[in-house]
Amino acid sequence: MSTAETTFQYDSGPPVESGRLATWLFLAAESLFFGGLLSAWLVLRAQAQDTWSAGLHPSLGVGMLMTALLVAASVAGHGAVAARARGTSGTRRLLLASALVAVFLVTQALEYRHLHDEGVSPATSLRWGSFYALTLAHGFHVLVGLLWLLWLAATGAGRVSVAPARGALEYGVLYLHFVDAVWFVLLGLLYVLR
Amino acid sequence: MSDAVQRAVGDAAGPAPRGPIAIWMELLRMRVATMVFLTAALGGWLATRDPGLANLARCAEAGLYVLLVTGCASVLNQVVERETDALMDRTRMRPLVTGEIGVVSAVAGAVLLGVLGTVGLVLSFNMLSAVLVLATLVVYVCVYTPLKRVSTINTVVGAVPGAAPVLIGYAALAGEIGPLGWALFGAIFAWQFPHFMAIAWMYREDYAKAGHRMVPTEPGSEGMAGRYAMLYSLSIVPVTLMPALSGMAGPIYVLGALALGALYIVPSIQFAREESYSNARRLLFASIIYLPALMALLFVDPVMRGL
Repeated sequence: MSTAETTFQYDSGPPVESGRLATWLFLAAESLFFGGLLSAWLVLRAQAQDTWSAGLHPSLGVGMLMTALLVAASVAGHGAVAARARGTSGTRRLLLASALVAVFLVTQALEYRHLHDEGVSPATSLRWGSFYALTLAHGFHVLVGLLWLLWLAATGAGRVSVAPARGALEYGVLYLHFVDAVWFVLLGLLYVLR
Repeated sequence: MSDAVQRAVGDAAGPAPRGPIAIWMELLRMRVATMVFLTAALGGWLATRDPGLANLARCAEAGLYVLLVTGCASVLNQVVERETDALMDRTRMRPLVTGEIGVVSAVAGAVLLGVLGTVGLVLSFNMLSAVLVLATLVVYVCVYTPLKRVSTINTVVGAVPGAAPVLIGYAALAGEIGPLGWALFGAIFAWQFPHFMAIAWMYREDYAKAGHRMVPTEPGSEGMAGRYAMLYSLSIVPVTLMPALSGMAGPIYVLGALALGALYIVPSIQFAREESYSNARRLLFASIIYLPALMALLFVDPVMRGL
């Protein structure tokens, strides 16, 4: 009893910062959300078998372009955190990451328009319905990520002088990495797989 | 050979004497050989995808022939390097270094293995696989081995024979190298870099002693091994997704390959951030899990889809 009292240091704070813990819990919940969607996709796909691949296939080139944009945004976000840790400003990298994420969303919108012109809609087939469900759910998360990054830039989280904001910057970029990781799964299942 | 064994026995500081089987097991590097056999057999199976016993036996036969030729390459490599091997802790107990086997008997045994393996491929399979296996032998012994002392580019050259068994196994059974064969080759090619960078970093002083030019032994190379490891672990994701592109793999494979990719990328990034012994060990561990798991995935996915 007495040893527990002596070894626990109240002054040093909790072992994990509360913001970091909250972010990981949030991402865990988000993983469950996407896990549910992907499980549903797998079940539909397994039942459809041969009929699934008939007709138009999403353009792999567009998928790769969108991947490149998100990966570049992740790298830029990582650069912002690293710059901040070195004691220099990460704001410019933060804005670059935001711009790349914004271009990703524009590309996705253009892809939807192209698909619409080709006569594809969510009602076309089970396959396209699930394509829209997954990409829209992900796109919404990317939009949240964009707003998060812009908010970080606006509140000066990248600047050295704003002392308490370093954690906030890391959490925002962590979310960006998460959105990036989910996209890789979507790319593999929706664009690459035939 | 008995003379050599006696010399080893007579050496008071030397280890317990090994019998001829133990010596040849050591010369053939059994752990590497097991991996060669498994990857070659898997390459063959992926070319046929027939779970019948007769076909599995054919794949194992091809794996055995590839194993014989790569065993030949391994012995010849140890003959060439017996003096530098003596300088490294990791390799100084090899039979050619300790003198437990003479150069002439080692070369004779190696040639016998090489001929058996090549002839086996020609007679039982096809010319293409025999040519590929000989090309692998030449690249390994005549290019990679001398290059180790010249340039760090040896890592890239050495990765070609390292990835070749799966391609040879595929070519033996399919009679051609299809897109899947190249995808498998690419995956194992890329896989080796983080794996080797972790090993080379952990043993960098050993390598430097023997005069081997490895990335982490070069002056001013801090951080380079980590960066290479990260770059190649990232490239493994698109490469492993290639089988799905050509319709040769299903959703289970895609999800599994992505999860494994993450398993490999995360320790690579950690190693790139900080080159430390514990990070190198973790990356090495991840690399050892990664390859058998990917091979299992390539086997399980078509079975699950009922192919």
